[in-house]
Amino acid sequence: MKLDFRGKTALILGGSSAIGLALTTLLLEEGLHVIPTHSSAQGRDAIKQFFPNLATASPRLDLSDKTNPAGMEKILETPVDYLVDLAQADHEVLLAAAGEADMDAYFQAHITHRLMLLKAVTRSMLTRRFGRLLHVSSAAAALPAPGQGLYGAAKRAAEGLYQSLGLELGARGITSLSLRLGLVDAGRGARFLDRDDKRQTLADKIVTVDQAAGTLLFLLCDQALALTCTTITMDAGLTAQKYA
Amino acid sequence: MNLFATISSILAEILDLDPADITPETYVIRTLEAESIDLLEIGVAMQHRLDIAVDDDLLFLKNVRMILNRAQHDGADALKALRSAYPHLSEDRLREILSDLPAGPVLRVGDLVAYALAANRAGS
Repeated sequence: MKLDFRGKTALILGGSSAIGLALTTLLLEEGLHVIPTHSSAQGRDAIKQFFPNLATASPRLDLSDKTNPAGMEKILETPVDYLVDLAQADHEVLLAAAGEADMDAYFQAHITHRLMLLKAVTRSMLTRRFGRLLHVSSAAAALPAPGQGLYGAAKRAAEGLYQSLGLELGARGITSLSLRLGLVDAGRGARFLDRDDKRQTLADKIVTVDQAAGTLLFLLCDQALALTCTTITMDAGLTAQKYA
Repeated sequence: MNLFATISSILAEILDLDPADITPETYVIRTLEAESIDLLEIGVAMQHRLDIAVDDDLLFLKNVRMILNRAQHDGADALKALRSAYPHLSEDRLREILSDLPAGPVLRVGDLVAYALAANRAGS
């Protein structure tokens, strides 16, 4: 099947992650203009290594940066048709042990600052009456492990923001979707698999980076636009069973 | 730049109207029946086409009743409270808003023009 894309430009928040890099490759192959963001020098270097031509156009975006909460000015210089949101800092702590300043900062970064960015991006999309918002959520939003309380709650909140934006702006051509990914063999997922030596026992429950990126590509295309204002799960059945 | 003509054109485009039917006295919500999603789009269009910063709450006089309720609660002067919140509107217009409020949403096209004019002055 040939995928159609009515938009031209995709902004990928967290573009230096393994999924972000793989998705960038796929979008470039489809002929789209891609703007991957990074939040660290390491991320910037990864983008430079994979896509030398995109390195200078990659804006820094760190949701926790209070002085420039969404790095919006640089990001909004180019009209964006697609937004893929892979930006999320991991933060494991038992809720009853979480510091107040810590929890406040985490929620401010991942909820308030995220909404500020989404507000700016969707207002820009409104002028063209088209936009696709794709939020990469986590199975932890539904079934957090102990220690993932802040992370899971922030993901659920973000899912709510995306759902409402799609609902409120759908009549103006802006759609939204959250994709809950399960255990991905990259980033924190890979660290978990390595740390607890789970690769063998969970082998059939792992989502590969290529699978995740390919699914995101499909979810961005015109044929998938009716998938809006909702959340879908892609976790190889990880959360479908009663007992692990 | 003729601000009224530009804003009329934006309203006509978004609300699917004939610009000739729009005057500075036209009520945006009461007569043109603009809904919240329309107001959002109008604000964005004004921001882009007029190159001004837009605060939707101020532009669309969204908090008039809240400001008046607070003034009443605090025993403050209603006109003074509105003057402080909406410095872009004239004294006559603010008095008009106070008397017109019982009839429904007070926002007029002329209020949008006044906001754009003030934003232009602030930017220059």
